[in-house]
Amino acid sequence: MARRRPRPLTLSPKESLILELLVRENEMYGLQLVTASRRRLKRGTVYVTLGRMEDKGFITSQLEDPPPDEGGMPRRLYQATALGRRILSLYASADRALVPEFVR
Amino acid sequence: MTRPGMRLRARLAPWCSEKMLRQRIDPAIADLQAEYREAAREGRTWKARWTWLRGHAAIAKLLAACLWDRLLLAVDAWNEEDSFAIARVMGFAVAGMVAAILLQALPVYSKYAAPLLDGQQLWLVLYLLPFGLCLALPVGLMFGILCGLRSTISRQLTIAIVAVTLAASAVSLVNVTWITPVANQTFRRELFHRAGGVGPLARGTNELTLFEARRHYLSLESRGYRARRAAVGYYHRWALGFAPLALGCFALSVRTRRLRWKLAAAAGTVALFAYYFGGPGDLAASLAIIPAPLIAWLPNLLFMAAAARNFLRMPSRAVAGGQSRSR
Repeated sequence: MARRRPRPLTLSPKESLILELLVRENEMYGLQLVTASRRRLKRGTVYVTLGRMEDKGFITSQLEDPPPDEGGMPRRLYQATALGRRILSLYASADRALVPEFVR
Repeated sequence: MTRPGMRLRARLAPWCSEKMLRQRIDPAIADLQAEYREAAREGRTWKARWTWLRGHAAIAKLLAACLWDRLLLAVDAWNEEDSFAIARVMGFAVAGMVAAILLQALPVYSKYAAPLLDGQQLWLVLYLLPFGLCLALPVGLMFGILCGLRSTISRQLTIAIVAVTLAASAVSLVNVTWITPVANQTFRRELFHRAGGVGPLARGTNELTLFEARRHYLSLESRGYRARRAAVGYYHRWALGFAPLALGCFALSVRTRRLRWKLAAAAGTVALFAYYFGGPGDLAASLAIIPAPLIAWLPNLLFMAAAARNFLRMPSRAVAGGQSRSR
């Protein structure tokens, strides 16, 4: 039987940025995240990061209704989950607690 | 209004898992369409075109990122069964390569060296090993994949096999470019001196490195000579360099098929031997109407076309790696 190592919950800088933006704005499209991040997030790879965060349970998403009369695909709106907000808060606390120690 | 990205999505859909489409591709295309609609509604044609271009570039970057992501996941998911499978593949591949090398090197030794040396100094056959490896590497690899893999393999094992075929092609290219010409010339020089020859021995076309072979056939053509055989020989060596990739992909595509496909693979290998060592290959080379690169690359192209056909005919779940073993 395959042995799987348990995966610890981690938050990369990009994931942290996305959570901060989603907590601030409540819900956003992928492209809005790219614009709001002032290019710290990239157009192509933001969706890879969002997909990974959704698998980890940090964010959730829902499809909007498709645009009326014009056709096209429905857009996906992303929101932070309770777990995502909690882990963002924990990382921010750890950051505030540890940085003065390293700066010393 | 045109809907940008839909044609691209239709082409990608058979190759991507449902999750990858839903989570990554569709949101990217939906955002591209929304941006494009907005620009078109404002009457800004150039902005709409720029949005189209930027959106497609982003999707291309997204696909590369997905591929990298999948590679990292595959490395992480590697397990003992995969290690056994790779060991089986390498074991069968080495056995196939040794057999193929001996089948090529021993007849050459028997024909040219044995009469001169009365069966002594058998170690000279070592100089023929690089020459034997040219065809033994792709054939052995194909044999290893066909015999070593079971019908269902994991995604990470598929990626590992593709990596092995790429590495084998790199080795093959180095071999045909530099190693085989030097080894051939050393073998010829040894026999020449043992036969009583004195002085340096001029190199034949098979003893030129790949770049020297190209200069040689171009110089013949520039002087008005018919250099078709030299040109075919040059492109033939390039094709041999990529043969592990072509045959490896073909073997990977037939490993799940029935016995008749594996027999077809074996028959294809025999045909490849026959093509490269005379008969059909020489006949094709003499037909001036067919371009020299096509003559040389024909076996690789046929194997790659067969592999593409097999992969495209697989169910989309299998193409997307849905053949992962249950754990």
